[in-house]
Amino acid sequence: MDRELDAELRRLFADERLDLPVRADAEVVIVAGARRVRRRRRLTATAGVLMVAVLVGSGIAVAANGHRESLPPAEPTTTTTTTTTTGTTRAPTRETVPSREEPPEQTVDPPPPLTDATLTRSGYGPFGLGTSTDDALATRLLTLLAPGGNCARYTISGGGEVVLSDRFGVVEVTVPERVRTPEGLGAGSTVGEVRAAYPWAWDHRDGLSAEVTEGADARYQFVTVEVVPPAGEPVPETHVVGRLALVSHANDCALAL
Amino acid sequence: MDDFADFVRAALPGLLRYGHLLTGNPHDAADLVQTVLEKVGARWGTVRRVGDPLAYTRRAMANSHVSRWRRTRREDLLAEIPDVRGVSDPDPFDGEPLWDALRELPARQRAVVVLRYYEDLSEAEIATALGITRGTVKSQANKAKATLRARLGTLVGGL
Repeated sequence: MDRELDAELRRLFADERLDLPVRADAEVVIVAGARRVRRRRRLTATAGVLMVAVLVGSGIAVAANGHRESLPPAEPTTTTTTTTTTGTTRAPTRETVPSREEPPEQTVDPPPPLTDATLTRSGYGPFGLGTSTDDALATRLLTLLAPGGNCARYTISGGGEVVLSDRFGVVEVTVPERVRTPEGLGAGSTVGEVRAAYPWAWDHRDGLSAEVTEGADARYQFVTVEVVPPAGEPVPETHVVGRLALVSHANDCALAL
Repeated sequence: MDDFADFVRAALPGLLRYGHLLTGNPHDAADLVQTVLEKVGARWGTVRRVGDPLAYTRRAMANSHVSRWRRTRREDLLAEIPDVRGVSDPDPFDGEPLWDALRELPARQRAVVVLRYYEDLSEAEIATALGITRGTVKSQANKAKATLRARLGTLVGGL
């Protein structure tokens, strides 16, 4: 019986249907992601050095950080909050949808930037998860950031970013730093505070993810600003959230799909 | 970073397939692969110097998946709660008794099975890869196989 199970497992694991499609530009997306991770690591190391300098200045000895010797000049912290974590791209033509054949843009005033929207468990302002691509673009608040195949990332006028899927519409919204979850978590919160508010949170993608309520179809994604721990090691409780996004589980904008 | 891009291009199909096995669905597979590869790329010089980057990446994926799963469900519930998460698309294997049974295993048990039968690792190698003892590898493998046998026995009348 054991041998039969072993054989069945090997047969299943050799099945070609386990293969998943790979996007043509997948390695470009991943290399960009790796650079972003490294940049954040260096940024944090720089902050560590500044801290050491302050403490040493006060006559306090502190253990050295291993990354110190290769530090670049400090980068602005905004770089940690504007880069993408999922590889998403879309055809540039998408940007022109709202204009159709109507003449000049100057006849239409741009809408006021989105500055007073709140984040709910289902969306941010007019960008509810699942809102169609056409409806999202019709707000005229979006500017194309990363074009490509069947997914694209846009910046929101007033702050934040949206990922639109041809199939699922709005699948991800990154909110500006001032915006917090209904439970009051966001940029500046510690990982410990996030875990306390969402005990079901898990380590994920340079920070934590937590379903908005247990078992829900959407999750909050908290990306920390500190050094990324090696794969498999837990994110320390003292790490601080730098970026907050609401992400739908109905989402085909992951790397390969 | 040039040879990291080459590495990713060559390794990606196999890693996605492996991620599919570990996570049980295409979405989480893609997510796991991307997350781990970004970290590997960020320390590419070190990873390449120390040894086999592909083996390192695969171990990191197994570890990262089990660790994430463990944090999601508390450790004391490990044996009871299956690793099934919301997915919007059906998996090509939905309805295959063995696949369904595997998907209902706790992540660590499934990782042990995948490392054993897909990676062909020994008990000692699995223990090192997952950071657990050989005794735990053995007990997890036994539990997993007992569960699989029971599920398949019920579903298809014996295996």
